[in-house]
This record gives sequence, structure tokens and C-alpha cells, in this order.
Amino acid sequence: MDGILKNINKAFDNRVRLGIMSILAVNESATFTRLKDLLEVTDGNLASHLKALEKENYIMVEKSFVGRKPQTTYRITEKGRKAFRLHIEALEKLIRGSK
Amino acid sequence: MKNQKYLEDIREIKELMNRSAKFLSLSGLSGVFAGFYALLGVIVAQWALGQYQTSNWSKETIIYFLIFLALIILILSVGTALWFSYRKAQQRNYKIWDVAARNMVADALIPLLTGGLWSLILIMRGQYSFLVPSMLVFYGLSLTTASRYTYGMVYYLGLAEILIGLLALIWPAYNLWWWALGFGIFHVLYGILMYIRFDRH
Repeated sequence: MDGILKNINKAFDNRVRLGIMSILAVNESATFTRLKDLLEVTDGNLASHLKALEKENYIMVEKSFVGRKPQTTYRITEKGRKAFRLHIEALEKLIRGSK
Repeated sequence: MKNQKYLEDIREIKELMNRSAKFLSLSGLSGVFAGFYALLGVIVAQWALGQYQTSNWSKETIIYFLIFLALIILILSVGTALWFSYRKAQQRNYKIWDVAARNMVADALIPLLTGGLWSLILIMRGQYSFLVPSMLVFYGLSLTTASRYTYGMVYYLGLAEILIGLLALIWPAYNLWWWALGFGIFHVLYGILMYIRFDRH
């Protein structure tokens, strides 16, 4: 049991952070606006969660310009992908184990 | 107690993965209507072929009539699909023209445009008996490629269309019936299945 709980990642213990990781796991990249639309959260809320994941090196940020508009794009890192996979596996084990 | 939350988390992960990577506004009703138009078209085509055999319709008249008919069915089907997708997107609060939709259209467009040009060349060269098999095969190919970005069931509809197209190529005498089967009956059946599985609440 301890082994499983070890993989339950505190960084993903939040609806928005879990959502960001889910989206980035299956999309090559996603812009800030697209994440905001899919998750239905405010700019400030989303930004703070993105920062937290970035700090853990789970996602990386790219800033670019589309015409004159700045655009921020996010991608999942290898480290993030691995941590997220372990997290999902741990969730599944916990659910199955208690049935 | 805690378990409920884990289940909720898994459900949320799945839902977001699907919704972010796939075009889910596609409605089963689009399929039902497209199939319905195609079957109506077959009835009209039957009538026209009767005219061609019994009255003084020329070969050119009948061929251009049938091509025109097919174009009308295509426009009606696409129009209906767009309308139902728009409605479903609004009901579920999805964005209709998002990255997933763009990916899907871009993927489908290559075999679809190739098929369109291919058919045009067949018409120019007077190879009319190859038209139905080509339309079915290229349409099937575009469905299998597009299925990556939408409901997985689209893939199997694509395979079925390719199979019917190949059969039509072997027995072109029944072209009208292959067309009715591929574009008509398959669309209706698939649309009903999809509606029951994904659209009904």
C-alpha cells in the first residue's frame, strides 16, 4: 500500500493541474487560451497552476508571436509524462485494490 | 470516501484527453440524414434511368443529370452535418472549430480532394463505370484517416466503405446498388448506432 501511495503525486492533487496534464499528455502542445477554454478557469487561476507545474519541470513553456500578438504554448516534458503515468497507474491500483 | 475522489479523477482525465484531442461534436443524426438523402437520390436516379431507357434522353443528359444529383446530395449532407455539429457543440458548450476539428478536416481532406479530382478525371475521360467504386474507396480512406481525431467508430465505417468500393469495382453492373448500400444504408445504420451510444442523454 505504501508503495502505491508514494506514486500518488501531490502536484496533481488538484482539478486544474490534473486537467492541464491530461490535455498535454495527448496533445503535442496547447496554447494558454486553449487550456483556458477546455478547463473553464480564470486567467489568474490557470497561470498559477501552470507555474506550479513548470516549477516541477513537468511542463515547458514557449513564448512566440503570432503576428503581433504574444502567444504562450505549453508542452509536457519527459519527466512530466513519467510522473503523470505513475500517478494514473497508482489511481487505478487504488480503485481496483479496494473493490 | 477517498476512493470516490480517485474515480472522479480518472473520469476527469479521460474526459479531458478525449475532448482536447478529438472532434466530438460530430452527431449521429448527420449520418442518418446523409444516408436518407443518398437513398432518396437512388430513387431519383432510378426514375432518370427509366427515362433514359424509355424516352429520348441522350447519354450526355443522363450522365450530367446523375453527376448533378450526386453533387446536390453531397452539398445537402455536408450542410446537414455542419448544422447538427453546430447544434451539438452549442448544447455541450464545446468549441466547434478547435484544434481537433482542424486536424480532422486536414487529415480527411487529402484523400477526399484526391478522390474528387480523380472522379473529375474519370468523367473527362468518359470512364463512368469507375465513378462509384472510386467515390466509395476514397471516401472510405478519408474516414479512416479522419477517425484519429474523432469517434473511433468512424474508422470501421471507413473500412466498410472501402470494402463496398472494391466490390463495386469487381461488379460495376450493380453500381447504383453499391452506392445505395455504401452511402445510404451504411450511413443510416452507423448514424443510429452512434446516436444511441454518444448523443442520447
